[in-house]
Amino acid sequence: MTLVWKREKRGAPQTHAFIIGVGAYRHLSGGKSSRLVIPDYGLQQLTSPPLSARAFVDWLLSEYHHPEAPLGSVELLLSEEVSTPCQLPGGRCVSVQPATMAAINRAFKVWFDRCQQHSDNIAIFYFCGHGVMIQGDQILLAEDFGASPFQPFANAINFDSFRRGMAQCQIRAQYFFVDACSDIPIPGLNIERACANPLIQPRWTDHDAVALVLKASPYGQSAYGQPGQVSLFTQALLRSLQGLACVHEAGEWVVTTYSLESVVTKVMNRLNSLQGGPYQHPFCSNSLGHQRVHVRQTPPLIPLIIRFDPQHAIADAWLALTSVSDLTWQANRAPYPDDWVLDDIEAGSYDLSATFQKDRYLPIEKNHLWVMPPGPEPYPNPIPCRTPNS
Amino acid sequence: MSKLMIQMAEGRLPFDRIPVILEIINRTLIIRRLVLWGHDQVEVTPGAYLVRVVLPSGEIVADTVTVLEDETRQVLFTPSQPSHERLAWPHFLGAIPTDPEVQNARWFRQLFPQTWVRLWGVQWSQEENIARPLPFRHLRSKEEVVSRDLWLKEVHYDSGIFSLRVAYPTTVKLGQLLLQIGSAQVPSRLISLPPLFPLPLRDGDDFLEVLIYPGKVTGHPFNRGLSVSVVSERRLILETILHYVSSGALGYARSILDETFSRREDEIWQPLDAMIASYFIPLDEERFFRLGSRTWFSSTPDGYVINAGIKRSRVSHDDVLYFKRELFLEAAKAGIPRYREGVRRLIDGLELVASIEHREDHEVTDALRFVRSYAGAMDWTQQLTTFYGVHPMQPELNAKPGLPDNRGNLLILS
Repeated sequence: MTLVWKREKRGAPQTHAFIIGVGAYRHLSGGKSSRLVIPDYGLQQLTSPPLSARAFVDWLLSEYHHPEAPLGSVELLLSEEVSTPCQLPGGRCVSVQPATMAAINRAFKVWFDRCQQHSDNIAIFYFCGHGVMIQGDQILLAEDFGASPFQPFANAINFDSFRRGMAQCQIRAQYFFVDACSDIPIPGLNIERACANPLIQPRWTDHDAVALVLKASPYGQSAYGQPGQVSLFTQALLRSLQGLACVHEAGEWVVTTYSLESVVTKVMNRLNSLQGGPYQHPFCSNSLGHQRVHVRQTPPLIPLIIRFDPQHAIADAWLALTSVSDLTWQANRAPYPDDWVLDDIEAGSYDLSATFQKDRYLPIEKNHLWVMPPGPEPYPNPIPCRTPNS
Repeated sequence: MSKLMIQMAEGRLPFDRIPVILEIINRTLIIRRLVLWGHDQVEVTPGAYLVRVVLPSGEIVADTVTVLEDETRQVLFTPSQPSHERLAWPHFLGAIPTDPEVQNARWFRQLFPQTWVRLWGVQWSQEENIARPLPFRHLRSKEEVVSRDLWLKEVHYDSGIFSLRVAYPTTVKLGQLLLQIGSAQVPSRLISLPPLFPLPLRDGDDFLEVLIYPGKVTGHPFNRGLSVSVVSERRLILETILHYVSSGALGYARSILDETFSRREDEIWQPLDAMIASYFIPLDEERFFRLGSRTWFSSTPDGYVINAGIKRSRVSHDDVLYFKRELFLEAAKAGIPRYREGVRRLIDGLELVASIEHREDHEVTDALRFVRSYAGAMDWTQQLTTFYGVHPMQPELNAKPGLPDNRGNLLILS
């Protein structure tokens, strides 16, 4: 079964998602098949993609909210070393088909048909797994990549053609999230054309597709994930969707196409710095313009760092942070040498007050703070502390 | 009436000609977004505000201000400064690392011994007498290494960054300019420089800054971390837009493009720049043809590609394929586009023509093979078309590192 979620409403716009996570590759080293693809293009078995795809599905099912196009269906294909059912919110488990090319083709067809049922529908495509670049095209590999020794890429998706072909689906918006490498394998240099599957034939008359494409890495570069963990790009994508990419529009907290692409880049930079792994920069293209991707029903939770100028002044400070909109909310801290780091507080307006031990600095009364996504820059600036003599 | 007087701090950069994004945020977190050209006076209701500018590098400079009834308050933004004043523009754009990992020339030499640079001029032509044939039989080329004296104006080294001032040599006809760089351990690559203004310039009027530095991706199998950025101080708006795009802020780039079209088009906005920006922020048909009334688009292969790709309401459904075929072939005959996006679109366009025709179209197949030979050896992370190889007509990913056999007009950096 590939359809893990369905709540279709005839005649009403909906969001339809197609999620693929490929970690187990039959014809790569360590795979189930005895016949390995030669050359192996330097590719190994992966553990991160199925986890990443599951995490994306979890977010869709538990948090995704689009008032004009609520979630209608989720098609999911997972290839993992040991196949385990997908647990839905509420505890129900469904078994999931592996992401072979045949299964991808079948799931694509039903997803495409569903997307086309209303002109205000939204299509979401997410892929996590191996990707390579052959002669300028990004190729995404299905579980049975390499099954045919003469056409190893027959069981792979030509993403660039697929994206152009999807222009035939004239709907409100299409979102493509591609969490895969796009680097150039040395054996691939000798290939004139990969002849990978476009899933749908592009046509001239539909040349102007409206889509947001977010990729884990630009053409020619690698994407990374720690074994057994959600990949770096999907982490950044989910944290952005969960709140860091929110903007306040007409009284609502919304993730827009524009905010998503810029904040995913920022969050990736932060994760790069924190995790110290290879540097990875996402790639985006947007022909949609400004659109709402997701509406949060509660204010997003934002990290906040409070820093003083001079920095050491904070070591003497009793701190109190009060919410302007909810006067019952307050956080306090006793003197401590480090910056005050609050991991997750609701976005909004706050007042900071400080009194200092030994009266070395003048008290700070209701210094206004704007706590906004994406954080955690010490907005607006380090807070100046004045001495009694200044 | 309360007002905010907002100003970018005066310095090396002409902020009155550089658009940046200004955001004024009130206590309920409502954001008012404007494009700031150096300074502006904004009417606001009394209250407390977070006022910030978002720069193309991604840097945010912010201040808080409380303004009372009928009061005018000044907000001055001072962006961060680079280690050397001459790097102010690339630093502002985010074209160079803010924290260079290699601080002195000796380390640079150890990392990248025998780094060298030279400039090629390539004329793409369909005339048989001036150029040599290519695998794409409808296109010929003539290429030459440009005398160093004609293009190199200054070389500086500061904080791990080599900075080359490259002038456009207008005294000789060179066509497309390709900067070639390599080292003892890094294979050679060629970087297409941005198109020349279609204006009669004096020699040296138009110049580029080429920045060479160790990048963050040091383990890259092809460039080994030897990074190159190219920026122009003449194309203030275009560079600003392109760098907003690079930092992921397409929304801000869109705002600046719209603002420029509505207010500044004839003053400082070159049609050629608008055309390049339209790679990333699609123009509608009306705007495109408003630009098209000038004689700009045939000055570069990118113009042909954009012309081919734009949707035309006046072409009937039945004629689209024939029309597109002619336009994309015309684009391929103009040479290799100077921007990565152009190469991508040229391939996409030719592929579509090839896949839709029922019989084999040899002209399209030839053109596709020609463009794909470059695409297969390209560094797709760069906005300017960048491909590996030892010669402009021989793109290849497995080129050997080292100095070229003919060392005339080489600039050795380390």
